[in-house]
Amino acid sequence: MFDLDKLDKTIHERGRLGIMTLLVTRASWSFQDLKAELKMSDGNLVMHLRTLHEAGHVAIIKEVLDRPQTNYALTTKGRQSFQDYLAVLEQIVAAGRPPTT
Amino acid sequence: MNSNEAEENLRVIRSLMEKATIYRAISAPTALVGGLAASVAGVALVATENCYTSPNLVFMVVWMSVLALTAASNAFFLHRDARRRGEQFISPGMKMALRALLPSHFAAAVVTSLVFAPERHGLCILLPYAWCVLYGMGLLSMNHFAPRSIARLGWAFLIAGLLMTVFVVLDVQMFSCRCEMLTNYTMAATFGLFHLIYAACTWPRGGRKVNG
Repeated sequence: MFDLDKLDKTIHERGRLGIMTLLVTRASWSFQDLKAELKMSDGNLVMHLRTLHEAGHVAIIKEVLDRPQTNYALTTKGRQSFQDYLAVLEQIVAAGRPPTT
Repeated sequence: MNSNEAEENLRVIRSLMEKATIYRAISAPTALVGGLAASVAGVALVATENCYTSPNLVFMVVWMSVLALTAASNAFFLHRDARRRGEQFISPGMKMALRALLPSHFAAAVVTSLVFAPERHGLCILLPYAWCVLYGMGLLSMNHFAPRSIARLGWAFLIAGLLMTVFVVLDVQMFSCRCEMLTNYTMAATFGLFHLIYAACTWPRGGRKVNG
């Protein structure tokens, strides 16, 4: 039987998993791009980003280009946690497969 | 969590990652090199058009050289960027880009080799328009993973190529009187100017971080 405590519950929630997945694909994402890609409301996205930030998975980057912009990026801890989470999922899938002869 | 749920989560992750992957197949420095080379080549060929006994051969040699120079520059800049990011040069993004570009570039190669046969040199006038249309279609085929600027560049080439083809078809007399000059101007105005505009619009700008 698989030990479910190994799953990072902060990442496991569907909305936050989507955020982490997008953040892993690029150096950083703007709030608007995350919102458009995930089709989340402002309030929902803010709440999930705050949870991930407080867990140390996501860094908030404020930049001034033509105008002030807030971007989000994975921290080293966040990247590692995401990889661990994927590894756990793969183990669960592998454990559920019938043994090959 | 059972194995089916885990599989479903992995599927969601994979599909989100594929959707979010963005690959810029033409970097701003490449566009600058290609745009400058095309502009200089176009203007130089127009300025020296009466000096050649075989203008079609010169046209082909010069523009193939511009293509080779631009392709080599692109490979260099993409390799440098990939190394800086600690990624592989032949990345999944590059493979997707090459797969997307292959049909239109193959078509361009076939059309070029057919038109360039000695008995069909009169058709050389149509080459820049065909190249514009096919290059534009190649860029547009990367739409689902390329940044918006690549799609805009694709539309610019496609529309310009089609418009010029219509002008040629409607006004053959005007376009056939000095075809070498027109084809070279066309190349400078599209492959030169369009790439210079693209380079200016996409050139990386340094931002000031105010909070880590």
